[in-house]
Amino acid sequence: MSRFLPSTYNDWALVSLSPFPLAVKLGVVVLVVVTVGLVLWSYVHARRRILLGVMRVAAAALVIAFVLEPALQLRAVRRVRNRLALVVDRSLSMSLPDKDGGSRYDHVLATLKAAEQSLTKLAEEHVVEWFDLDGPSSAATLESAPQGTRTDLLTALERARTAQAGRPLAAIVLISDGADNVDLQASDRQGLAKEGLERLGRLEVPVNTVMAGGGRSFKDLAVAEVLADEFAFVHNTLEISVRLESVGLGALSVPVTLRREGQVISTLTAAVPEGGGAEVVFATKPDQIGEFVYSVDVPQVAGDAVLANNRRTFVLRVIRDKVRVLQVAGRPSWDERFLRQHLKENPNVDLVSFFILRTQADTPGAPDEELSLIPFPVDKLFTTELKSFDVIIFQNFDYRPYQMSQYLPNIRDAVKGGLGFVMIGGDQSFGAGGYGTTPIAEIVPLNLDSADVSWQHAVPEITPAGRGHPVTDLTRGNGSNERLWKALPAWRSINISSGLRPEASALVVDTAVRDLTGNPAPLVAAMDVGQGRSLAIASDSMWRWRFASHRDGGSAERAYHRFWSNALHWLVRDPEHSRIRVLPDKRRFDIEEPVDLTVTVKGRDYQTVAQANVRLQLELAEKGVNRDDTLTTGEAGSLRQRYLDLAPGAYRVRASATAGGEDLGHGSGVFVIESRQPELVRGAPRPDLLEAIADATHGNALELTPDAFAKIRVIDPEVVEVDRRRNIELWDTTAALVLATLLLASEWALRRNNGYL
Amino acid sequence: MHRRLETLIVLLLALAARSAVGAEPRATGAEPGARPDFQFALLKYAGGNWNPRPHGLTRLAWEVRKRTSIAVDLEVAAADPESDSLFDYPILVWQGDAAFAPLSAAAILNLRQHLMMGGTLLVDVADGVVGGPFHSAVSRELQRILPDMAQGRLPFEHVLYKSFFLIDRHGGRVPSQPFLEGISVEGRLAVLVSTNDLAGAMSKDDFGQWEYDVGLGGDATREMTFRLGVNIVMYALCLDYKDDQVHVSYILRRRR
Repeated sequence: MSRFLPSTYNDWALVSLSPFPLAVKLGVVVLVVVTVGLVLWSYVHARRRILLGVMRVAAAALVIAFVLEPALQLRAVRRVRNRLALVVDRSLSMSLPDKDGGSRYDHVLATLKAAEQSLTKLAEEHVVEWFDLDGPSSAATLESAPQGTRTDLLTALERARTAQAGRPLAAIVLISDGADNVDLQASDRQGLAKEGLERLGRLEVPVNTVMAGGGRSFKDLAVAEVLADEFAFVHNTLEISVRLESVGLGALSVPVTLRREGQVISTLTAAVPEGGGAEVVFATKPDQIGEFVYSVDVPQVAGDAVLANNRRTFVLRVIRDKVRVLQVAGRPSWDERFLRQHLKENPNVDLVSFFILRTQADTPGAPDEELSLIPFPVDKLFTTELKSFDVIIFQNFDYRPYQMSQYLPNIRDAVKGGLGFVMIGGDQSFGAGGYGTTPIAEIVPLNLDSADVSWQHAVPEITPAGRGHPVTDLTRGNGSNERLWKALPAWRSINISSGLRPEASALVVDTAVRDLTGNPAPLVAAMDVGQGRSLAIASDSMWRWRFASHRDGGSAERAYHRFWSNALHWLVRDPEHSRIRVLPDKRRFDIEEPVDLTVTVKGRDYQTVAQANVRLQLELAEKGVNRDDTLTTGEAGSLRQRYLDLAPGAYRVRASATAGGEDLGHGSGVFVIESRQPELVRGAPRPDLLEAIADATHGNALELTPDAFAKIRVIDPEVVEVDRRRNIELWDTTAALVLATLLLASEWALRRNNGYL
Repeated sequence: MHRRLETLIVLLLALAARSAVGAEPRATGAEPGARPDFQFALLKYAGGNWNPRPHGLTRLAWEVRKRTSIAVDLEVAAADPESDSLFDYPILVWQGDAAFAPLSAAAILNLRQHLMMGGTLLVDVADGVVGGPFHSAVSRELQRILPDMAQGRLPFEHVLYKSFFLIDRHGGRVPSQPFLEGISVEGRLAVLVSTNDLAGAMSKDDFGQWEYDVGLGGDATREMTFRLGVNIVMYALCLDYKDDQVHVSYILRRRR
């Protein structure tokens, strides 16, 4: 038709020029149609009914034309190009290697360059707009390396749809590896979830997908997920669940290795089905307390495209579930009773008690069958069971009646090996308990030559060493510790010692009472013994804090609980009570993120040490010392250290401190540098997902080839009228009027001739 | 002459009686070498009779010292419930045989704190009458001291019945109730109530003679009373020690 139009017009349309409202025009048409229908009905049995009918219909058509005033409208129009959105996935997974070398994104850029002709043609028909997953992009941006940290395809498509105030879209072309890690990640490979389909449906535009990343030729084996608690309990079974994912490798049987600080703990074999995942669960029992770097790895298999996801590393903090305490009391007493009550009420303590209820000198007046007494199992306790305890408390206990001499070396050795030991006073304790010449003397902070016990009131006074000591810090930084100690009730007995052992510290003394060396009598003293620790409490009346504090609002009772809580933590070497602490700001740092850490240094008196020399050795697990620095603490006894540009891996920072030639000890901390990007861990291409998106939106799923852009499905551009139009009236002619008159007259004559009038 | 002889015989008998009880407790006695740690304290209160069995607890203290390793002070203290000195005695004994006036608010508060912080109170109804004047009065005061805590019968499975002796009876001067009652605070038995006059069954005079008749049970009843007393003391000092796993198999074997 267009070719018959005058050259100044390129379009036409049939229009009505009638000034009547639409309702009137419709009414007239209906009236005419009904009338003609009735007339035609009357012709059913007439002769020449066909001729009559044709004439009546033609006449009626002319009448309708008179009413509607039809016209041919000639138009000069032009087509407005609609938008074509090209969404390029610039997430980090696009930087993963592709099948022929180079990254997925390199291939995308190369293909776009090769498809320049197709793109130019598309640009003639549509307004081509470029997007990445975060929104509108530019050619310059597209040239740079992909850095997106997530792939949210649905949101990216919605952004493209609503850009430019929602101006019409011809289509969206999504160039991606399909490795969605947001809403579509969990979509079944057989299809999209309902919500995803609904969101795609609301786009109302075909989405043509272009598969980048090798599609189904991609091969990868990944440790996709490691599930383990941040904390584990020492000597308790810890389960570490590992999920492997395999893409394009067929069915596999692979060894999965769990390591701690680089040392192999266990290896399991995982059967990974073709194109699927597998889970293995390690069960291990940590045997040490502290922070450790664990890793899970699988070997590289043939064709494995991404090696970075073959290993996952994590930091595990191993803590005690309960402190196992053995409380041995020489006789029932209030001091024993209130300590037992405290330990039993402490959910972190597993208490085993043995109290001597009857000695050989006592006469119960009843046969053994009528008594609930059991033998004191010294052999079992102090041989086979000894290592099962974390802390042993000898409370006013004289070992001599129980043939224990042969076991005392075991106790000493166990303490030197890491056991905590407490001796609590009374008339059967310290020197009065006969320990002065036994191996126990080596592990008690007080010299045990004296058997003296003073029953006078003792006023505990905290020493400078005790002010910051973890055991005697009863306020934990909340108020004055010294003031609290002064306000606590007096004790009513003191075991008088012959002084402190050289390596011991007196934390609490009574300045009014002197020991045999003439110094203030120690009431609480502490000492490191090899790997273990030892505490002496030279009185049997600490229970008065627990019971007699009825007038002080309970502060003495709280002090009692806090003292013992502190003591147990210190005795079992809780890492938080370590004198040298290395505290990274975080346990896990991202690649290229600066690593900041704080080192705090305290002396034997647990006071912070300024100007201490600290040697920091940074070790990359399994690779030895990576860096060695020597720094100095500030006035607050701490220092900050920053490491930059560390390679991915698990690191341990070992700190050793000295001050004035004295070795202050050592400590360590761990951290991990690892990409936390799911993009790099789970970056397998998802052709199935891209195909599902194309299917749901009536687009095409295409491979990444230069001719892909010639195959995209689009919505035709809208046509918009411009400038000129001309109406050529079709009814307002003499011929039409004559024709109508002739038709009506002829019909009238014919009817008359046939006797219908 | 006859009168002199009679007087001499009486004196000799008296001396013999004194020597026979030479090992008996003395009010100020302390075990050599061991400083007494445990001491009974009788609760003093106005009205009524706060010390109706002056020798009973001393005798029990002596028996505890003799039978167990506990360092016991034989002297029985008197504790004023309104005084701070109440907190020097973690175990209190409340005896009586008559009605008494309500305690002061300060005394009630002190006793409540004492029990809540770990103290133990043994109520011994000396007249042995359930619902009698003393029992009623002390029950009224216990309601004030521990208003939200119920007093209930102590089952024989309770660790108190195996804290030293394995026992299944109570003793006491009068068998008014074959059970003890108690009030627990946070799982610990803080108040024990006996209506059987325990101290009456344990009391001996200065001549070593039992002061009160215990009826048909005789010495067996007295022995059972002492054993219960020892167990109460042992429970106060060791709590549920005998419920620890290490003891269970031994005790079950002996119970069989």
